[in-house]
Amino acid sequence: MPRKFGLKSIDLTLSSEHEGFHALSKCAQSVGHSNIIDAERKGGAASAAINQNSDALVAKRKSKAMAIATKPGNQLAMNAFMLWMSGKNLNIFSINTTTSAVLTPMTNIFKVESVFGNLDTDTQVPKLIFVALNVVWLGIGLYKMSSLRLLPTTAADFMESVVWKEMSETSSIPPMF
Amino acid sequence: MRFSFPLSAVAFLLMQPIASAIHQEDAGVLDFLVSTSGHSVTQFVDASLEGSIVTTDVPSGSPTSCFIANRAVEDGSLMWRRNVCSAPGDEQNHDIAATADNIYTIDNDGSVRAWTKETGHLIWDARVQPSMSPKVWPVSKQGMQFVVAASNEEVSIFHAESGKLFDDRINVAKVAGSAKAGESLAWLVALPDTMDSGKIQSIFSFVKEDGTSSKMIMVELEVGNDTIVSQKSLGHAKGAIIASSVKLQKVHDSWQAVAVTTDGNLVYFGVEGSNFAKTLSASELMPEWEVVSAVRSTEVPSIISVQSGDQSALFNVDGSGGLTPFEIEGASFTAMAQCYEAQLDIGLTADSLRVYRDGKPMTLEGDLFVPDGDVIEQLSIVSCSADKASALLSTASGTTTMLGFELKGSSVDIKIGWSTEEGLGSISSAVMLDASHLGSDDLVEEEAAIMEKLSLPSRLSGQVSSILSFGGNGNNRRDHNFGFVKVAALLSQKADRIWGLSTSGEDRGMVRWSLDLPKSAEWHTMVHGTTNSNSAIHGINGGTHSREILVLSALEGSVEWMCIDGTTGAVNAQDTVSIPSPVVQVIPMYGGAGGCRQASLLLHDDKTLTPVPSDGATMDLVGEQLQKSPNGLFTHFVDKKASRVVSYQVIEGSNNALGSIQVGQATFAGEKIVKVGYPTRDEIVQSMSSVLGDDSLLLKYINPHIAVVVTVSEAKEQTPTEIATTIQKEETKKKGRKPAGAGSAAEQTAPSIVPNMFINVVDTVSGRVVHRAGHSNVDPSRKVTTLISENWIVYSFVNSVTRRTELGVLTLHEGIIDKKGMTMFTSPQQTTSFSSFDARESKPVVLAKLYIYPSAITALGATATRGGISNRKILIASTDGRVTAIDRSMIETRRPMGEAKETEKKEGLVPYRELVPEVSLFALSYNQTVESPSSIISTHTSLESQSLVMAFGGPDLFFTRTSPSRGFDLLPDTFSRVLVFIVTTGLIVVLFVVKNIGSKKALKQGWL
Repeated sequence: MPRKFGLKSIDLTLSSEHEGFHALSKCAQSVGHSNIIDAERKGGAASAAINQNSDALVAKRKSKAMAIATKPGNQLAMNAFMLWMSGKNLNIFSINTTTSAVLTPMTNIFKVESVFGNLDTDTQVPKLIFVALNVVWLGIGLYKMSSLRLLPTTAADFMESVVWKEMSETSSIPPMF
Repeated sequence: MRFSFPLSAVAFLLMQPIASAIHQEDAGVLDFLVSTSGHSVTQFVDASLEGSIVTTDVPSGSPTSCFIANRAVEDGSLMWRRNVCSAPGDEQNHDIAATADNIYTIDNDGSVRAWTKETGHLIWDARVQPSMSPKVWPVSKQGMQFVVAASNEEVSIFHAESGKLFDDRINVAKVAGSAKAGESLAWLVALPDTMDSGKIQSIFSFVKEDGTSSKMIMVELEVGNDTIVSQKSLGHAKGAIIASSVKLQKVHDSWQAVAVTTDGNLVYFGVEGSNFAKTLSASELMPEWEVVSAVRSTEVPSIISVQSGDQSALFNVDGSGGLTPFEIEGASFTAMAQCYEAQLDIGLTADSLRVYRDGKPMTLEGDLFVPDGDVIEQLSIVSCSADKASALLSTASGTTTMLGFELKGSSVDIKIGWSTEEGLGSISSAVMLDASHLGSDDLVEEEAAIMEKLSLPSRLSGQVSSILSFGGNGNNRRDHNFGFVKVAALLSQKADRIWGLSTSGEDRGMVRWSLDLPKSAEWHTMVHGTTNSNSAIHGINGGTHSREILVLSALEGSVEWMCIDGTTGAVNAQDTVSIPSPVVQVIPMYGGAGGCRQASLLLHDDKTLTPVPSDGATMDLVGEQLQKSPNGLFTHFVDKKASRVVSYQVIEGSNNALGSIQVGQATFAGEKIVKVGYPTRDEIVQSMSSVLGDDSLLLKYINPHIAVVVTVSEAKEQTPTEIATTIQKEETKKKGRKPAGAGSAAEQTAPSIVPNMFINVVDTVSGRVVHRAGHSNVDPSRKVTTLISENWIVYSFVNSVTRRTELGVLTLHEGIIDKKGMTMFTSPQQTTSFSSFDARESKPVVLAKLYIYPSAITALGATATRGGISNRKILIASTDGRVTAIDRSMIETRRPMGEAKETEKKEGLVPYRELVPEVSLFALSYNQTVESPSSIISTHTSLESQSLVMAFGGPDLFFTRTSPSRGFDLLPDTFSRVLVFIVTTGLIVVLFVVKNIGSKKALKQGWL
């Protein structure tokens, strides 16, 4: 049977139909190499298992990605409670919780690629969910900053923008006499 | 390399500033109080009490200070001082008489008081008729001491010990007749040698409105008999005699009088005995004299002192109408005193002090004192014994000097005991000048100086010098570094003198320099500042950092100017400028390259202008100022006679002649201008807006051209307007039911609601009144004080009905920006320029509140700091002798009438209460008495938290340092320099040791 050579792909897998298969199978095995027949036998059994396992793995990876994506959501309620508990005044506790509430989601958003990088699956949706939840978290943190008057949101924060006027006339305060 | 670490340690130690911080506990302890006698000129000296002298300024011939004082003879320290006038006002007068133990005074309000001479305690007081020329003198009858008080047409005699009226009051109108319209009866002089006879001889006169005497009468009254023994008209003394200048002199056992006439002649006439009168012109007395300006009697019989301008001379009265210059060996004298026990004649010529014994000159040793160029006012013997004498010399500029004389054979040893500057008790204006390390002349140079100071070589050399002088004058260095070294230039119109006063260091409170000004000048002024800047950024910016002061003295037809270094008193330039008409306004400007960088422009009555100095460089400066802003240079004139404020634009006509055109006018018809207040020219405004509790912005109205003109209604009884009547009716209706026993409403005097005092906020460029507030029941005779600080106007007055001091506050605003009105994405439309002629833009929104202050207020001020970041405190000087700093929030116009909202609480606003408490803890003057200062000024230091405050204008001069927002940039009390040094040194040693151990260990490990 003539060998088939395709332009697009060449199958280099050794099978019993190939010339020299049996001769090769009788050759002594080189150090560290298993018998080709055993290898083929084993390989055939495993591929089916692999096919089954890879689906499970993908599903697992997806579920893990989703778990990572929704993790900030799980912390939202607790963080919101913590922020509420820290009160309206600036103190070490409120500064800590607010700083955490702002910096953690920002860090998460910037590290989104590395967080999902190890998962060899499609993570677009989890990433979006992850970013969205972190944005919500960041929003809560910013709201807290705003309530602590740490954000320039009112006219009082822009008092330096009030114009110092140019004088159209010149005069001089007289001395006492 | 091994030496690098120790070297760095040494360098670190060197870099540690030794004098680069100020401790909190230092704040407030570097104040000083200069107490004067209160009367700037000493004219009356009573030395009958051993160890002390009582002094005052009568007879002066003009409104007097009302202060009498007692100083220790030994060191001149002030023992006590009393204000003997009971009614406040500008036209105060008093008279004084002394017995062995007591002092008797009478004021123009008719209060007769007796005081102990030793302690100044009040013994008794009584009332007589008020008079502008009251007289008091002692008499005795049969060993009993009496006090005669003469006022207007009435003579009252009191027991000297108890103050009980001895007899019925004697009315002299029956002998003198009633005064004509426009005339008043004034007592001129009493003849004191009639004490033991039980008779009183005195001269009174009818005085016209111009101060001249129309008829003089001498009366003789008998004590205890209620009768006028005799009367004699002194009609032979004719001419327009200035009534208050009449002085008595005893010549050959008879009384003769001298007086000055309005046309500058001297009238000399007999009072007892011969009825002669002689008029002598000034040139007949001294060929170089033009007019006689004053005449004084001396302690030496037959000798009078006559003054002409800045010169004075003694004249011998010969008893027959002749006056000859008093000369000894060809020398003319300006003052003479006699010590009979030592047979000493002490005389002062224009340039030397001379002492004679039995008519023979004595050799002088010791301090050869001469009052340089000053007019001698009085030379009085304080003590006199066979070999010692002391004399008090007072001058017209207020210098009082105690001189001691000790006989040593044919010579006299002279010693200056002490000297005081009584003129410091009548300071009319002051300028604080920085004499710190910078020594720069303007801001640019200051920045350069700062940069130089911050350079490494400069810092290293500073550290080396610090270490070398460790333990030395650290405070002095620190004062320089932090800008505490200020010199106060003080001007007294009354004493015609300028002083430079140190305010820091060991010599704080001491006079650093003084300069005499022309005595014939109508007024003097110190010019220090410039025009407002083109941009209102951080305030008016009308101040300069220059040490130069331009001193102007207005004479008839000319203005004398002096350009002085205010820190040293050095005169850099001086000249006289002719003027076409009287000066009505002075416009300060700075930056010329001529004889004086501090220049000014004088506005005359005829609307012309004269630059001072009148050189080309100053004209160039004026030209620059005219082009400085789009609309040009403006000034104004406060015409108190016509009750109006007139605004002028300065223009340059042909041939570079300066002129002015009237651009506006604010007239206050039917009202009298009593006070004009201006903003502080160098006040730093940190922000253009105030943040409210709800985070909205309240915009400040910063107008460098505003002035507060306080007017009072001239009509005693104003006709209420229809609105006022309606309001009053409503007020009456609102009143609840009367409690049982209360009288009817008709029995009560209802306070008027018709305003009689007005606070006019005038834009001096456009001449428009931008705001006007009225107050009713204001006592116009009491002092009104004003303050303009940033957009705040604070004023005080006395309510005649409630008899309390009220503190009015106005805050001027441009508007408000809502909480969300200005954010990152939105911004309201703002105008970028300000013109006084824009009627809509230049009109402020005004908030007002009225408060009550527990004491009568004599002066208002505000603290100044370097950047205006610290809270600005309001400084209040009150009649109880305190200078108090209160927080502005105490008198905030937005204090809520009801309970404060959360946003208001957040802002620190507390509910409105009328009374502003006078808390002792807020008193900057601590337990010291600062009597009635008329002005308070403040200046900044190089530290933002520190502000320097000076109160002056009264008999006391007070200076202190305060922290309006506490010492946030000061080292705390607990700071230990030693501990820091030990810890730092320890750390360096540990580091050195550890480094050595580490290197040895690394070497050891390498070998293994």
